[in-house]
Amino acid sequence: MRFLATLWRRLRVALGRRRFEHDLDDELRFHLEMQARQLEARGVPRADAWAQARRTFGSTARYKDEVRDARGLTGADDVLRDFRLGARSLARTPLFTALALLTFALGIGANTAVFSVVNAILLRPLPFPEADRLVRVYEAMKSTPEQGWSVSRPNLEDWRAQSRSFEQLAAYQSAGAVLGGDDAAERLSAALVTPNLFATLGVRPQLGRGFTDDEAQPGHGEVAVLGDGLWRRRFGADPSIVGRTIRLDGGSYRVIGVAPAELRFPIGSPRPADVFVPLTVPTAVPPSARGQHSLSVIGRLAPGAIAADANTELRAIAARLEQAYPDFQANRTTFVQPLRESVAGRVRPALLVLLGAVGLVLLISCANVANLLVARAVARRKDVAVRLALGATRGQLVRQYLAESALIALGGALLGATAAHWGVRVLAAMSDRALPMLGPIALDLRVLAFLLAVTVLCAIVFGVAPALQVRGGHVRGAMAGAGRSTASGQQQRVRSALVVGQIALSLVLLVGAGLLMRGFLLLQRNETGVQAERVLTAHLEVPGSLVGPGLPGQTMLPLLERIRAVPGVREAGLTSLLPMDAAGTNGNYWVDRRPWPPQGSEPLAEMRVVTPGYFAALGIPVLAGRSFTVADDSLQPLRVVINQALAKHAFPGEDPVGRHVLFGTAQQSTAFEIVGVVGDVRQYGLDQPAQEEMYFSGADARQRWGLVSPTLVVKGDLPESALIPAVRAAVQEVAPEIPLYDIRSMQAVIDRSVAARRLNLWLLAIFAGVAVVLTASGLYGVIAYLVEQRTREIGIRMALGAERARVMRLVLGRGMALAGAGVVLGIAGALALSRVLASLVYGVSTRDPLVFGTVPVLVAIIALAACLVPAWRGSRVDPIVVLRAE
Amino acid sequence: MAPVTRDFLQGTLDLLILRTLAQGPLHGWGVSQRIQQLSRDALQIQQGSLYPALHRLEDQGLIRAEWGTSENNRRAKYYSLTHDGERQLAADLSSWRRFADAVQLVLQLA
Repeated sequence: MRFLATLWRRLRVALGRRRFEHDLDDELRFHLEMQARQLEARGVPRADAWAQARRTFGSTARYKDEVRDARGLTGADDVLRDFRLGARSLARTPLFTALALLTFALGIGANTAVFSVVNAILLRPLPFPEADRLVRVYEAMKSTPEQGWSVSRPNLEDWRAQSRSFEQLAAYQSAGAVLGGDDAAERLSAALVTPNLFATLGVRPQLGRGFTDDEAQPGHGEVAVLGDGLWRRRFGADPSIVGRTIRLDGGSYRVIGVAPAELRFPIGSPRPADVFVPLTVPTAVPPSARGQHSLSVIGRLAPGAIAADANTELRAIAARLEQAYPDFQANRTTFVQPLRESVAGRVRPALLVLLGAVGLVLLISCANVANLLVARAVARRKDVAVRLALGATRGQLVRQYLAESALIALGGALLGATAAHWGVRVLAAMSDRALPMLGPIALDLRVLAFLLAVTVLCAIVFGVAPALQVRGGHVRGAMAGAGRSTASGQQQRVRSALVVGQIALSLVLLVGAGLLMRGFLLLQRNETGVQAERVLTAHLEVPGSLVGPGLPGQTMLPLLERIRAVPGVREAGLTSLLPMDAAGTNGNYWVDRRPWPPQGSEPLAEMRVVTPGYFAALGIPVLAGRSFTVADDSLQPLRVVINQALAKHAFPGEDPVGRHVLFGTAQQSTAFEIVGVVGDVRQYGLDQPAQEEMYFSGADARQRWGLVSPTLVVKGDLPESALIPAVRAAVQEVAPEIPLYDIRSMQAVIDRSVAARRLNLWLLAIFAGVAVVLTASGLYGVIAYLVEQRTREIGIRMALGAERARVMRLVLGRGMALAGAGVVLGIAGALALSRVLASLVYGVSTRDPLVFGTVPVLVAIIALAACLVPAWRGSRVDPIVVLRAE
Repeated sequence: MAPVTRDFLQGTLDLLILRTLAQGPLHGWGVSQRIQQLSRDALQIQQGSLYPALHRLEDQGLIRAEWGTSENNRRAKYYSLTHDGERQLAADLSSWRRFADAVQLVLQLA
């Protein structure tokens, strides 16, 4: 307490410094005045009285100093002076200062940014109470039990009835919906959810209430819970919204609540649901419902239960269901996965690699700062010795160097924090869709604080070292030595080791970036199967009121006709799902004229519904037969177009045109006549191979399910962006109630399919680049210093007849020896670590000889370049000047 | 008697200042005059050591300072005892007396 009070008094004095000095002057002058008066009163003449008073008093300056000392001001003055000196000394060596600051900024900035992202996605608990009890529950095939598929309603009901591991099992389905109202129709993303979804997640609506079980009954489901985003965007966060009615897909829904602001659902989705409506329990459940897998299931484990046990229990139930319903459940089992794993598992390897990479950058940064400071320390030995000899105390020296290091560290910390701030923003922007969105990615202040502490400590330790290193007894030696700059062997060794380490780490990063780059280049050469130039794509959302048998003939085909009439449009078509996208629909099929295989072992094919014009718009070649026309409508037999992969697999050496594909079972199946074969298209992205696929006719009203949320594909003679207004206007004209959203070029869709890979590549490349720059500067520093130290030796050698080339070789040899050691270590490290990259590298071995061959050469060239300038400078040494200087 | 100079034990000077201020607030000049008067001119405080001592005591929180107006209408800094100062004075007085008594005893016996 007393200490604090004293500190407070001192602080007040120190902060009110000017006033304090003024008061002190006043106080002393008052004393002199009184003394003079007293003397005057005793009869001393006025002028003499003043002089005498002053003489008796003595040196005011000295007493003022003592007063300041008593007030603890001397220390404060010294500290200020130390900082001023430090700043001046840093300003005298701008290159050192700039390098140190830059290194700090890069190290702290990059690490904080990447760690903030990793924390947001992998570490921070999901924003739900007891989130570790939340799991996703899937159906799975016995052959691939760790790959989850959607769940059918009857299976969910059986799980609920028979399992004990779950407190809740909730299901949802994502869908599009059209919001009608005073403004233009808006496409919403909707979530159809079981009433217990909110309870399962452990959240409560911020306004109103959630759904009751009654509201899941048919005819009672016209109620909606708004998402926070929609509530703010369209309803101005009006709290009286509860109880009002909104138009959704042509129907009226009563708003009963508003979901909590922090709920982004489905979890990890880039586009969270705008509105929740109840998932209605069907009145009549046909047996075939067990085969309709459309639900996503989230469970909350019972207290104490773990995911693995729940999985075991569900698999036992699944085995019983397989016995009971062999037609639908053959070869099927279940898969229970922790919710976080299901959301972030996909990106975990990439994030961990980035974290490792950025960690290496931090190591290189610290080595660089250490290297710079050690270099400075060596240069300081003489300075330290002289000062000690002149009577400076070690404490004073430490304080001064401390001030200097603190200045660098503070400046670097400031820059680093700024860099981190922007780094997080850039990362968050770059990672759009490449990373699951679990919430806002924000600067992680704890990480920033930790890194600041580490780097500041590093700067201070290496900064103060020189003052401590010169021991009292060594002052003379240091002074004598410093005059001739003999190398301190130990420090030179430390610096060399640091540089070798830096080179090795940079090489590891470069190899990683090289592998990713090579994979990405291979990827870019992949045939997509489509011609994406000047193709515009746009999603459409058809309101429920328009979905009927007339959808193709009365709405969609006329709409396409109108779009084809737009000047600059060459062809237009619709598809149920764009290729090169993450989503897909598939099913089992069989072909005619062959015995039906055992249940559950039929081949699998992708399925799309496409209108006439689709193949032409995307430039997908028709290899045999024909594509669809408007005549392939509901009056005709069921027809299908297959892709080459399916043709090769199902009809090897035969002509598939005119043959049939079958759906159903051996006893009862539906046949589709094959009218054509088209080229393969990569359905799931540039990095995924093309699957077998079949296309159904969009002109056929029986396939209208595929046109409810279709994507429009428009091939133009003009650049994509030039087509947008006219296409928009055409849709508005023919079907004003259909909103258009997510408009992008086909090329953008393709690029998006490899966005995550591109992000990884970019980040790793940036980190590797930073590492190389830092390392090159470190190597340059070491060699430049070496030359400076050996100037005398070089001068003597040259005086004795050594040629300039020989001197250059000497210096370069030293530099390249360091580089060689670093490269060898680096290759070993990269080989050891290459396995980590396996999941991120596309199409090349993680020990790709091309990468492992070129990167070390590249590093050697960079190292050579870094050594050339100092080596050249060394060879220019004038022996006469050097020898005279001695 | 020789005037007591700067070598005067610091602790003793502090004690004298605290004792002087115990009778009421005084400015620096007043403190020096009072000590001189009370000691019948035997103790002449070197002004130079007076002010560092005053500031040291203020820094320690034993006395506090306030600007006031002097008897000749001049701005002057008045010092007074704080609670801590009063406590310190009491403690110092008793230990000083014990010390003086002991010295006295030794001198008598010698």
